[in-house]
Amino acid sequence: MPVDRTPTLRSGLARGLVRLRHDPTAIIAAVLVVVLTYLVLGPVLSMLASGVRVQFRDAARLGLEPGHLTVAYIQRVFQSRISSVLFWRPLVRTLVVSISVLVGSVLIGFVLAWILVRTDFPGRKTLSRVMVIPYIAPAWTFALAWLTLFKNRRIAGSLGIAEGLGFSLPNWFSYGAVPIVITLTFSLFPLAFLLFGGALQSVDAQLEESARVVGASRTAILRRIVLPLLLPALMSSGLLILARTIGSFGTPYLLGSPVNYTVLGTSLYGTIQRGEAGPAGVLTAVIILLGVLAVSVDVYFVREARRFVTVTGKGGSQTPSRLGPLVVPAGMFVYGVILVSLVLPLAALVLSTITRAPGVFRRENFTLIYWIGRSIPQFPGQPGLFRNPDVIRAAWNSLRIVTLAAIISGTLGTFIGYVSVRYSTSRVALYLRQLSFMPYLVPTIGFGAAYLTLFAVRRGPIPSLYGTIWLIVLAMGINYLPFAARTGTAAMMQLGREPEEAAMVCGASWWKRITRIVIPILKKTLVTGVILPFISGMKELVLVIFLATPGLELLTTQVLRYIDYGYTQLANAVVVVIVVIIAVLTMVLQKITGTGLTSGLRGG
Amino acid sequence: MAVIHLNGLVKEFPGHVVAVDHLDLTIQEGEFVSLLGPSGCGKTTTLRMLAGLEDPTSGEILVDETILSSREKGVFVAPEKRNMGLVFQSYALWPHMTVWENIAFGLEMHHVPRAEQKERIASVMSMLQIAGLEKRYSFQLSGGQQQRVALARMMAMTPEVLLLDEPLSNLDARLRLEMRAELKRIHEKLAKTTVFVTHDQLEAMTLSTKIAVMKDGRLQQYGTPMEIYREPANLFVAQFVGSPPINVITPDAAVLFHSVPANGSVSTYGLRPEALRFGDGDWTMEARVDAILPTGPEWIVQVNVDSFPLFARTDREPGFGAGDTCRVAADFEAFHRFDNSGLRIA
Repeated sequence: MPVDRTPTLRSGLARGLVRLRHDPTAIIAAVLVVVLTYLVLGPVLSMLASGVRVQFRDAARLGLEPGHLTVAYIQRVFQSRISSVLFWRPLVRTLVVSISVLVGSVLIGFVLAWILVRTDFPGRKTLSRVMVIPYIAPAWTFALAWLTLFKNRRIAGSLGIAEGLGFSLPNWFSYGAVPIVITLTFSLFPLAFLLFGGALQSVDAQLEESARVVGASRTAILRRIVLPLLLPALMSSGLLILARTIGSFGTPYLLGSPVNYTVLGTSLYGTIQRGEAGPAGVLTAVIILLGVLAVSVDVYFVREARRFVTVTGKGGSQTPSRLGPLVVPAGMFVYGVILVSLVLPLAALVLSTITRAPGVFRRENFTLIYWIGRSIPQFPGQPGLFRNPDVIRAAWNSLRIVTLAAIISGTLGTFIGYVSVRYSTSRVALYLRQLSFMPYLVPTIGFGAAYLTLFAVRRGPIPSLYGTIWLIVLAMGINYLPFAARTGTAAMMQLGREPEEAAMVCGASWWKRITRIVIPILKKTLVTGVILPFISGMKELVLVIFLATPGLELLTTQVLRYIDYGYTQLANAVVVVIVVIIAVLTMVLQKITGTGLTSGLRGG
Repeated sequence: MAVIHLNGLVKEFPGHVVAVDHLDLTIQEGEFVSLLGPSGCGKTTTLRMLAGLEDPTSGEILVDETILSSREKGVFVAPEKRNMGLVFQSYALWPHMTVWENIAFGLEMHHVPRAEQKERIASVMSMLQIAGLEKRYSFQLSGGQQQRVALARMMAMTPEVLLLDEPLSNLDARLRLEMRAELKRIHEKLAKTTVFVTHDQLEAMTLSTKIAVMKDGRLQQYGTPMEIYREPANLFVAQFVGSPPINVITPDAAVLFHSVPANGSVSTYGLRPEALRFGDGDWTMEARVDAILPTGPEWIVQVNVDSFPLFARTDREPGFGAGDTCRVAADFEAFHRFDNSGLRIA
């Protein structure tokens, strides 16, 4: 090989340019820093700032210039005539709902995990997979199913199936706290199930065996060895569920609004809808604070849990305990959970789309008109789903918007991972990782609103995005960044620097290294990194509720429109379509990765 | 010709972590130099700077008269222009390519004509005895085969200098011995300047023409394996090289310490286990036998003089058992002497 070692460049700048052409990681890092600061920090800060700055519409009332610093909004939220409606009552309700959901899901999740991981319950592998499905469906599907089953005469639209069968339901059962807690519990328990299942599997059998050898009884082993080892998983799942419910919106919106049962998420929605940017900023700050609290406690416990990481020998191969006659109650529990969390809701939704009047099981009541009818007499101007131009347009919008958002998310996540690995010790990598995690802490409803206010008008080089798909694409792409960045960083960390450096030594240019080495090796992970945000995007409702404009509806917002009009069958039909799309994609994902489901679950 | 000079080489990472601290080293044409030291001593960083994967904070790297890296003079030669081959600790075989594609990749990047590629790949594969594995992927290879493919990938580029980063550390004991012999054979055949990073003193001793012992980014000693073993420049080198480790005798072991004649201000003595005999000599002590560890060809005996433990190594079966008393002896010149800063006293 001819040797060409002629160093011709002498100045520092020229030398720097040589290095950059050779390895443009620094340029990528710089671009990422600018883009993320602008798209993540910008909206969050503007939202928070609106809580302490006089808004234009309040300037005259407060007697201050717009933009002046003020505590008026903080006072309005925490100590004014309306603060009990705006904040305190929703806060109490949020806590009541969150803690009830937490207790419920942890109990269900723990018992299920025990039965399906530690006993010889028949068919436990398949059942474990089935248990995850409720979590994949959008959480508000369950709310909709609840309404389909138990809606009473209080609000418009067709009645629930129960009333159609002749039952008369009280408001407290149809709407408010009870159904919110039940539906959220049945959509979130898989989170606890997965964390407990994982923890139970990783408890080294030798730990228990050594307790048995020194003469501990079965109950003593459970109480003194196994449960303490599960404590971190308990904490972790509890806090994740808490963080989820504190910021939840879809379910309380559907089930709480009819009886004015407001939680923090819906209260924030109300302030934004009424154009009260100030109080909205303050409420956002409170929800972020609660989220940060939950996550830091979680981080603390995860770090504590490291103490429990034991030297893994040949562990993990526990002999499942024999259930014996207990198999009957265990079976009732397992299949009961499947019935309530999966079969009943989906059946109710599907059933409602093929019946004219709810709860009437006569042959002439069944129809496919809501799916394929040319026109539906009850709903003037609305043909059946597959012929409905609104639905088809919404589907097309969902498809292109979510695809673009998923690609943005996946690409950014990959590059963040790349910079993290190449610059593992630098502050830039740390800054990027922290920024990319931030959307996780911001209540989605506030994030969407922030994008609306920030990018509805022309900002610097970015033109007004209002009414274009790009506003939704950007908001979505950034909102799912935490999971995409985590996937990307994990993949890049696993790959390490060496394969790329080996190519560098061989003389491959940066472009060649990326296209011939890095991308081909990480193909599968990169596909996962795009499909995961795609799934989240297909079921996204909260983020887009303010961003979707008439003519730019997504499938999810189309569901809300139909609910508002009382077109229950059409709404449910669209939901069924969404669930089918998500289920198919999830299966594709599982095919690709083998474990895609569980790895993406904490994100969802 | 390829004589490598490292002049006052410094590498500082963010957070004022000095990985390499003013390293001066000259590696002659055709030498096999091991950079030896515990993890975190800066040996891998030095290798990466040589390869051009890290940019030195200050100091220079030269090959013959040509500067490869020098921040002061604003010179940095890109890795692929240095004509050095690098084998990584993890081998870094590209998992999506076959063995053939792995080896061909670099040649392709250098626009080597197809026919020549074929010829060169075939020749390195036969030299490394992996012919027949062309179509395999790395996950279908054993650890030893992966190692050979990584070497072949490097050698196909016909580099002037071979850089090896702990290439044997992922192999099991038997394969490690086999690959050690293989590396020695290749070096003797090609006579190419080789820099080898390892934390395994036995590997360094058996393979190298010269060893550079490093600690905390600083060079401790640079010499032939026998110089390093027989005349360690300081206490660290004495303790790092040799297994079982050298017996370190400090003033707290009063009986032992004061029974060896001092010259100058000795603050520590070192005595290699094989220098400790059973019987009589210049220096003789009563000892109790704590444990006898037979390794097959020899016996490692832990004895205890005035409750100070010492290791002895002998190829003759000891005629006593644990708990017995015996006499241990050594010649005075067998003791290494170190001053209070750990430096060797000649």
